[in-house]
Amino acid sequence: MLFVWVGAVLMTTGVVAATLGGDRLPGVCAGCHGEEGVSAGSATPTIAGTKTETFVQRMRDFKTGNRTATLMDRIANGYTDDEIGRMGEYFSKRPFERAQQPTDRAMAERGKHFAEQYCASCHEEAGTVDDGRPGILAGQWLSYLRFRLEDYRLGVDRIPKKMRLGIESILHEAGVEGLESVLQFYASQK
Amino acid sequence: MELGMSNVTRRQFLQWTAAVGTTGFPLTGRGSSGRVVVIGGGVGGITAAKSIKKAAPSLNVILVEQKKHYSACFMSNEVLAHSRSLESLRFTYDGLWKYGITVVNQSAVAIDAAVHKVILEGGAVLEYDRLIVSPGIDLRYDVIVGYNRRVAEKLPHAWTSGDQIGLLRTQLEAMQDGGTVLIAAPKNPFRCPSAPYERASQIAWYLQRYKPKSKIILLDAKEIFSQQALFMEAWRALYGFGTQNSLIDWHPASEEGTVTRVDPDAMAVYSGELDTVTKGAVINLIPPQMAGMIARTSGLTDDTYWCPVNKTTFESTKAKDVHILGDACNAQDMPKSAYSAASQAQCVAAVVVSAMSGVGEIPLFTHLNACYSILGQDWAISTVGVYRSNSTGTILQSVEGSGGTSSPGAGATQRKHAVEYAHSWYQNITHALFT
Repeated sequence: MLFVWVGAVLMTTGVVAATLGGDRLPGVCAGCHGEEGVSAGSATPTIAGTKTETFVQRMRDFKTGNRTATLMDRIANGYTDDEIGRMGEYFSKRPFERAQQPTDRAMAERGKHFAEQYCASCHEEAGTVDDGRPGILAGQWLSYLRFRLEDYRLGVDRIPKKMRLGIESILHEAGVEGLESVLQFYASQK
Repeated sequence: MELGMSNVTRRQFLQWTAAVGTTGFPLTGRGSSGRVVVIGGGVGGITAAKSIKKAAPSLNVILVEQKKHYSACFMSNEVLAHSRSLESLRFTYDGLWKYGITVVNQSAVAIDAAVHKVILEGGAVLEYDRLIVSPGIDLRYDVIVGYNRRVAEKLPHAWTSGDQIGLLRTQLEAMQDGGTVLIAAPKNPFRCPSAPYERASQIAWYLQRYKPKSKIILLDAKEIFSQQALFMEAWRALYGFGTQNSLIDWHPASEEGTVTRVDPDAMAVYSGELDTVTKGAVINLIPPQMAGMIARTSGLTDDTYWCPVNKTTFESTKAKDVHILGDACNAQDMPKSAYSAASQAQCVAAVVVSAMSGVGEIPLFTHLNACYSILGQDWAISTVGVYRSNSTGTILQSVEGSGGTSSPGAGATQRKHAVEYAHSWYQNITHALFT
């Protein structure tokens, strides 16, 4: 159903956008998410390279309140499905550029072990691909990853049972530092 | 009144043009491609220039800006609390050349929309197919008695960043503990509606740490202000607001808040119907504002001192093929902010490229504004808005069910994250503008 809908969006707006040499609407996101969706700010996530379906689902979750936000819920409410589809199309075609940020090598090495054991079945290929819901983790900003994980841990946001069990297992084995090491691993991907 | 030169008449303009000729900037690449001139190297102007060049690389895009450096107003309040350096607000225009934008470091002194020409201070004339005017604000020296450009060197407004912010910081540093800091906020509309209150918060944060016996008196020409409940919640929690030892006292218009005259020699301001006198060791007088000078002298403003525009295309209702954006235009519900200017610039880029490529169809646009205010240690709040115009371009209003402020009572974690997101926004917007 979603797929059909996105296709329809392309048919109605694609012509105008192409004639204009690019749709300018996604430009409104740049203030916080960076030019072309690549964030130069250390807390806002890069949204370039996100699959259209993932993008649309995120925006819907913001609208319904299924995903907590600092202000994205209040913004998502103002945009139509058509506009969200156009934005999703735009960012899906922009390359994800990994953040250049300092990470703790020893911690990342330890985190790799946890990531492979508990995260890799959904966050495939070391979190470098967006294959639907999870989004790209590799090279995402560390502050943002911490914020999200904190929301998941505290139960502010609902997550799949498998992920909750994974987090609990890591906490049991290595405490909060264990979780941080997983984030260090994903953030350190160059 | 200190409004600079009077309106440029058509005859004057033609005289100037005849005197200087049209040398200096030959029209290269006109015809199939065309030329866009952008006046004003702020958030609106730069974003428009870059977006147009990106969408239509064959267009000749010229940015006219008299200053060599840009000093950001957004985040400048942090300089007052010593959590940011003045230098970190400064940027050069060097990064724009690599996008194929020509930066002309001169002042634009007149526009003749009838013949599609801009005249520069040096006398050179720039012809354009479409003109984008994004001059920002000028301060009004004709409203408060005794206030003028010279007085502003003693009673800084600090509303155009750079030297003025530096001056206010220096005065705060020189003030003795126990001194009164007086802030006067103007009526709406003005640049950045939440900034006087963020400023009061940042100065309170500074005083709390370095001069705890001092206090702030905030005289306001309004009854209510942007995100008032959120500001007051923070002031109560952080600065004793509402108690006898409050670092901040706020006086709305009904409590003698409207400043009507100043006496700089006595370091005093007079306000309200009772002509109440208030003295300050430091006086930060933020005066009423108006559209930048080029917009006024070129007849682009109306009796509000702002520029009326079509709300869909941002084309001036007074001059064809001239688009006005950012703080200078009247965008109704959209506040005068950096984020608004960038959003309007994306819209105007689409409109201009569409028109110049002969598409004819005007693309509709849904605007966005987002503003963070940092009020103290680990405490930030936000307001956002999504805006859409009607089909005739007469109304630009907030989309129902969207936008609004962060929640009062938001947890400490949310407020702390908002500080990081605010700084992240600053990194992104300045990166997008200058690199």
